[in-house]
Amino acid sequence: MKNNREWLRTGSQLMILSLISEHDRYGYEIIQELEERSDHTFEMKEGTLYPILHRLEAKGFLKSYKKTMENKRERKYYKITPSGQKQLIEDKNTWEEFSKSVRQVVEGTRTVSYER
Amino acid sequence: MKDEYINKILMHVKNPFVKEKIKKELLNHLEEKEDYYMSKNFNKTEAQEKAIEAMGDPETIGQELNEVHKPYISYLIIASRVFLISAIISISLSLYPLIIDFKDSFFNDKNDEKHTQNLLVENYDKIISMQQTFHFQKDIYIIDQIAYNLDNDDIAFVIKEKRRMIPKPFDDSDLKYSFNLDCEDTKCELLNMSYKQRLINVKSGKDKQYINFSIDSGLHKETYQLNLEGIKYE
Repeated sequence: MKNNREWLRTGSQLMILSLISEHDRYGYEIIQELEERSDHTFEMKEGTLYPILHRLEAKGFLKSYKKTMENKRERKYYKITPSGQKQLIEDKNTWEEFSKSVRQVVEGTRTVSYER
Repeated sequence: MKDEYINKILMHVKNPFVKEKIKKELLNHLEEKEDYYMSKNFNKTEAQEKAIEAMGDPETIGQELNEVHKPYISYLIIASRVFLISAIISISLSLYPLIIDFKDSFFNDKNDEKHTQNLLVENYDKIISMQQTFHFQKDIYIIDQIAYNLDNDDIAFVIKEKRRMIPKPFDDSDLKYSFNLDCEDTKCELLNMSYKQRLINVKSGKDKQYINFSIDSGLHKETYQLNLEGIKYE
């Protein structure tokens, strides 16, 4: 069973891989999308995204490339790799199982105690 | 302000190869966030402050980035590649003269041999086999044929440099490339010169019992005698 920090990491890994699997994205864009879609539940400190992105790239799940914009700014885009796709599916399944287990515990046999 | 902040992050990243890349990526992020705040009517300084605030604690970010980009693997890979390449280069360099000598011994010798043999056969009526060996410094020279014509008194001989097949490295002989051959007391004509052979024609050679000649490498000179006693020119 994973510990708290690992779940958080798996969760953020899942979300980030999922976003990038939709289409190539760069860091700032990922942060914005996360905040928007989660109704601002996920408002992480933006800098902490980058270690995650770099680790995913080091593991071969993402591949980065540079794109020069019209205003001469250079953005580092990330795209998902085949092994990244595989990992995404795995993470999705793990997460489904996890949330299912939690639900089962919460909605399962309850000991009801009444105090009168 | 932006630069200071990013430097605070990069301080914790020990891998020197990634610092520039990370700097660019983070700088771009900060700039886009700044633009966002300025569009919300903050001034440039405030926008930058807020952007930096949104980024987070530089120490945490720096330490986590360092975890990902640990340098020792990169160093190890680069060091082993450098080592491999320099090993290949040094081995090739030291083998090169050996290989050249080897190739020379094989190919030039054969060509020389064929060439002078053809010349002898074309220009002279008869060829007599013999064997006389002369030592010059570390090399051996052989005269193994005397050729002559029936209608004049010329004779010819070929002096051949014979070297060991696999030359010892760093054991340079004087006569790697060229040598001068002079006949001391008779009329010698150099008819043909190749890599390791000299074809010498001697006018009125049939009369001679001995032909004195010298080999001069430029560094050393020695004289020898080609013994023609008892040779019958028929």
